[in-house]
Formats: sequence, C-alpha cells, structure tokens
Amino acid sequence: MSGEKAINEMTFEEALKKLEILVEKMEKEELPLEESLKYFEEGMELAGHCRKLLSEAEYKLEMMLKNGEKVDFEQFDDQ
Amino acid sequence: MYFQKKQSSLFTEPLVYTVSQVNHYLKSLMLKDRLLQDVRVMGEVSNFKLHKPSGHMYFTLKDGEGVLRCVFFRSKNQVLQFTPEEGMKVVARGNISLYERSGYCQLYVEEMEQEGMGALFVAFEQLKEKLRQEGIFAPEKKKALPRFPRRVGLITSPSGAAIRDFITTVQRRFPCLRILIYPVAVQGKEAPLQIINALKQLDAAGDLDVIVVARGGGSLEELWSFNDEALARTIYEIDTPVVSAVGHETDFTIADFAADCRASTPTAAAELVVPEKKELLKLIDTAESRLRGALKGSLKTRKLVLYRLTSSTAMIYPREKINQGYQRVDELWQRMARLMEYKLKLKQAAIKNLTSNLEAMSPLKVMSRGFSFVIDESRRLVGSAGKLEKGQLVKVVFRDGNADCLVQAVRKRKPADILDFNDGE
Repeated sequence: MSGEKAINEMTFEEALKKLEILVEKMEKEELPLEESLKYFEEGMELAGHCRKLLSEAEYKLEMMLKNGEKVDFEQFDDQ
Repeated sequence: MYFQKKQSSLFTEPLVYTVSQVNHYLKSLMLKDRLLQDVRVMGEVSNFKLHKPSGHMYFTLKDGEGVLRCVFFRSKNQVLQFTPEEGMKVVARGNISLYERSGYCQLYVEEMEQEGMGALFVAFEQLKEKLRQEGIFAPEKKKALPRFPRRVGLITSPSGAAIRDFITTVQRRFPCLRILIYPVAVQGKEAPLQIINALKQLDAAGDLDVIVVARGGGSLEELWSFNDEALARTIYEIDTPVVSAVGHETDFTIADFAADCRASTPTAAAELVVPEKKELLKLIDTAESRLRGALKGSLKTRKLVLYRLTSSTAMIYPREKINQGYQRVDELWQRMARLMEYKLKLKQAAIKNLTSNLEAMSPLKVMSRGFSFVIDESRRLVGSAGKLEKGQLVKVVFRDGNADCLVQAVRKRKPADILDFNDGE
C-alpha cells in the first residue's frame, strides 16, 4: 500500500477513496493479524487527514470582473 | 266585465318545465356537442379578476362583436407562464358549458398562453431537435460532477434571487470551498453573449471544478436567453462540467438539455454540486468505526481460536495427561515385570537344569561314591598320572577332608590295568 502518495499529500477524494477500500478489505478479507493492524493504522491516519482537509478548507467568495480580475464579493456576507 | 276571455293558461298545458330543468337540458346539450369540448378560443382578456383566497381566475374573452365568460381554476392556472392583463391577446383551451346558477355559458379554461407564443414554442422545439440530432445533448458526453468540489464558478445576475439562494445553501451545507461569481445579465438581448463569455473565461481559468449557470423563475420571454443556440454549444464544448439552474421546476430551456447536469432551482443546484459537510464527517466517522469494528472482530476471532486451543483437555488438565502417563508406565511396568518373571523362571529352570547337570558331573558326587581327586601345588587338578613326578608333593581331596602326599612312583597303565601297581617294567 505504501507505493502510492504519502497520506498527507493526498487530496480529500483520494484519501476518502483509499479509506473506503481499506474498510472494505478489513471487513471482507481474512487478513493476517499484522496486516489488519497495518491497515487499521493507515485507515485511522486517512480519516484524520480527511478531517483535517475539511476543517482547513476556507470559504471564499470572489467575483471576476470583465477584465478577468478577481475581487472579494461581500454582498451577502453581512446578511 | 273585467274578466277576459278565458285563455288557455300556460300552466295548464301538459308540459311545463322549471328553470333548472331548462338550464340542465341546455348544459347537457353543450356537454354532448364535441365542438364545444376541448376547444381553443382566441380573444382579448378583460374584466380580469383573480379571486383572492381561492386563487381562481375569472375574466371574459372578447373580440370586436362578442364576449365569452371564462373561469380558470387555481389547479389549472398555477402553471400559467404569465399573469393575464387587460387587453392581452391570448389563446385559451377548455370546455364550454352552462353555469346553471346564473344561466350563462362559460369557457372552463384548462390551458392558456399568450398569442404569438406559438411561434416561440415552434422555434424552441426546432432548435432542440436540431441540437439533439447533433448529439449536443448526448448523455454519454455529459461530464460527471466532482464529488468534492474545491472551486465553484457561478454565472448569474449579481442582484437576483438565484445568487442569494445558491450562496446561502452552499454556506449552510459546505462552507469550505471557494465560489467565483461571474456577474451577467440573465435576460434581454445581450444576456446570451455575456453568459457565453463568462463560460469561456471561467473555463479558460481552468481551476474550477464545476460552473453553475443560474437564474430565478421568469416568463418564457425572460428565460428565452437560455434557449440560445450558441450558448448551448458553448456549454457543450467547454471542459469544466456545467450545471444549469434556470427558472422554476417546470421550466426547461435548451441550456438545461446541453448542460452536464440540470438542477430545478439554484438551491437544488447548490445541493447537487456541494456535499454536506456534516454528511462527510459522518461518512468518515462511520468508516472509522467500521475499521475499529473490523479490527476488534478479527482480534476476537483470534482470541477465540486461542481460547479453544488452550481450553483443550490436554492443556487444562496436564495432571491428567501425566496420570495417563503414569498409568501407561504402570502398565508397561507390569508387562515388564511379568516378562521378567517369565524370563527369570526360564533362567531358573535353566540354572536348575544346569546345576543338576553340574551336580551330576560334579566331582563331589563322584567323591560321595568314595572317590577322591588330586591337585598340585597350584591347586590345579592332576588329571593324568603322566603329569606326576616322583618326589612331587601333591594334595589329595576326599569327600570329608584332604591330605598332603609325596609321589613315590608313577606308573602309566591302560584303563584296563589301571590297578596294576607292580613296578616290573
């Protein structure tokens, strides 16, 4: 499993997909103890990474002007 | 005098009908007449009244010479694309019947549209068919929406309801992404071109995961800019997936067909494009608990296996194992003992046998018959006279004792003359 990207470089989609695969494996296959421990650890790390990505992503509202310039768009923020 | 010639009173004639019977009959005549059912009537709207609580519309249609009363019940008029006004030329489809209570006939309207709308509809259908033939709407060409967009483009009017609905819904569901708004006119002649440029510019930027083209509800004319052919082609050609959210639930524009995904309203578009943060967190939590469950499960099965092994009788009762060992040993011991005994007996028998033989051959037995034997200085048995020499000291052993003797003479004799003691050579 370590062939692919390191977990902290993964995008949200990749991490969540990997996590889903690991859970599937853990539940379906008869894994040797060491491997299921390894998968478990990796799964927990992936879950942590996903949560981090969600909490860090910031919300931004911009408007593009005709000339392609971007400005902040606050019209609704005060509501 | 005053009394006139007796007339035959109408009342006394055999067939006299009541008003309601007459009206009822007129109504049935109308209902039976195919021409008056599902008929299309063109005319100018006047005396338009929207009855407040019930939502029913009452008006008359008129042309130069006549007037036709109409009723447009709420259940049917809800989908009306426009609000009828005095003098508006319309075409109404419905059934003509008699309103018995007031005795006048009336058009019960099922559907109504503004005159001249027909032309727009035809144009719409033709364009739709043309683009469909070209495969602009081909489902397999539709691009999938990203499951977790990071950056969303929104092409809409900066002041409309659409922008507010979309943004508030996104803020509620998933306040962790960036929205880039491209303000455009959403109706009028320049709208299509503005939207096209917006699409191209945002697509060129290339960093958007999805672009939403949104507009609030409006009349057919107001939504018409979204039936623009060039707009449909642009939507089809650009790489970024496009979600169209134009008009109400029931409005379908060409842009909707060309888009990668159609949302019925701007709010629906937001729900389609953006996942719910708490749903995602829940997804992660469940994954984690399933992981834990799976691990616990596998550990449990292993413990079970271990328990089963350790609880096997051999482990639980080593004593018993040992006892079994003891028993085994005893058994073997007994067998051995028996064997030994048997062997011993054999040996004893053999020994007895041997001893009896030995005894039989034993000199003592011979001596007991009066014989004695001679041994030399080193106690070796002298078995032959030839071994003796004159003057040799020997010992003679008798059954009851022994004696020292000196050899005075030695004589060799054959067995027969063994007792011949004469010295005569």
